[in-house]
Amino acid sequence: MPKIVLHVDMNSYFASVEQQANPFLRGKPVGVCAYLSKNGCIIAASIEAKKIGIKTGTLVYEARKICPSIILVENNPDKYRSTSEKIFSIFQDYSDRVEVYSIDEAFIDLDGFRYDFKKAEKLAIEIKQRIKEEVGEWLKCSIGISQTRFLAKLAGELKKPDGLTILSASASSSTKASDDKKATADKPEEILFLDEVLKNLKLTDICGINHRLEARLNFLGIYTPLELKKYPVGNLMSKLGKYGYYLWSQLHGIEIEKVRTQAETLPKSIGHSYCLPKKTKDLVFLRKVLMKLCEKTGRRLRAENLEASGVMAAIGYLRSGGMHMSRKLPETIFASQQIFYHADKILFSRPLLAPVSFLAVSVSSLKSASNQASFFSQKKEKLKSQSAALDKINNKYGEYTMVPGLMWECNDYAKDRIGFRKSVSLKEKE
Amino acid sequence: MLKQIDEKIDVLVDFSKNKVRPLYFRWGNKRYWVKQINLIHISKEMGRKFYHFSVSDSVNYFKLIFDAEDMVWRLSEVYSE
Repeated sequence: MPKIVLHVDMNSYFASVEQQANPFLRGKPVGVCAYLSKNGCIIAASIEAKKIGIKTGTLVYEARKICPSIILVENNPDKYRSTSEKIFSIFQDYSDRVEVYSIDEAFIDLDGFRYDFKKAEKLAIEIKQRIKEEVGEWLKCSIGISQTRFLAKLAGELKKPDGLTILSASASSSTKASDDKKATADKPEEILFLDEVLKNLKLTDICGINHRLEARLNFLGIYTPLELKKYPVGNLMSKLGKYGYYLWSQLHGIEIEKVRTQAETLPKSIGHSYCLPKKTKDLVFLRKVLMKLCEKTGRRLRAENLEASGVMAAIGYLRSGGMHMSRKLPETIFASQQIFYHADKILFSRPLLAPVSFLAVSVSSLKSASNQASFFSQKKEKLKSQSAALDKINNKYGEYTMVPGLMWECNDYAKDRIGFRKSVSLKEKE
Repeated sequence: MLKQIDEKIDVLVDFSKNKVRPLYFRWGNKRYWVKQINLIHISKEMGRKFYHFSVSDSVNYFKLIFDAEDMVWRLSEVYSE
């Protein structure tokens, strides 16, 4: 029985949720924006808006130029997170191995459940139906079914919206492996074979290949994913290192990154960024916003019971340019004021070259928080109990009930915005 | 057009079959029957849990919010064409 993985990707997710909530928006071009100001950016366009050329990243004024009647709504993070939790909880009825890949994407590992492609297809149809019945009839998803996580995602990308694609890791219908043949009679007609799919795709259609890597591959004489698959792996590794092997094995249907459940996945980094409403060199204002970004980052870090030993901070200047820098730390950090201390040093220890329009901070090299007392200093323990007490108050009485003094009168800046990465947690099912 | 409202309202609610269904509500001097529950989502604020019901009748969309701590219903949004 081959291993089967399903990849479920909700189509035009935030906009579809808005259309689900308000039926008067259905069938119309809708854009969900982080901010409704003219330079605000559309973070999700409805299927109808995409058809007329409005997509994620289009600015509000550009969208209005393309379609003056477009309906723009400000994003509502609680609505999307809560709806995603309902959707992902349906997936947990089919497997204990569900990986939340982003707020609108998940992998379901059916390994060990004796599924073949035909049964998996039936299950996918059932999942689509249950999403419509239990969450909302306007919500559509594309489902990819294959033998590895990577190929399931590739399959899911092939047909949008509302697609269901089965992709066999076998090269083609005529060159299937012999152990695959037994299942052939059961296989549905729509089954696609890997080589036939790869020859019609561009390199950048493959997850993990951007334009820069495409240029490097072109330099090696590789112009399609199929050519990449057939390229000698040794040569690929000598040019691209380990990543060459990663790409080669993924395209050969070799599973090298299994579906990871929540308990097995540590985030690589946690951070926040903010486009400033006023472009300024005023350090008092900039430090205020930076402190808020650090507090948001610190709160999430501690909620996940993690510590970090890397900090990255970035600024963007008005018109163009900016700088970003990361720092490896000798000790792990967890408190918001520690994050601020390092971010502030990175950003403001030299003069600003122009008014700042963008600030970002993130922590990386994350690991589970250690309760090991420091041999040399009591400072860490004190800081830990202080942060825990503040978190307890803010959890009970609401976010920002107690904040560092630097954040005084900062409520209107850097409000909650929705992120695409893993911002939804799965609850254990009984 | 979307109108933000924030008014306490009286709602008749059906709690049965493990589901919560607002049946109708009074706003102003009018009674509005809920024809369709489009979406239910939850938010948390200041340690309180709020249940948001996006509902519609044949001509309007409404967002009703139930504050689980105070057991109070509010009308939050109205949209009509």
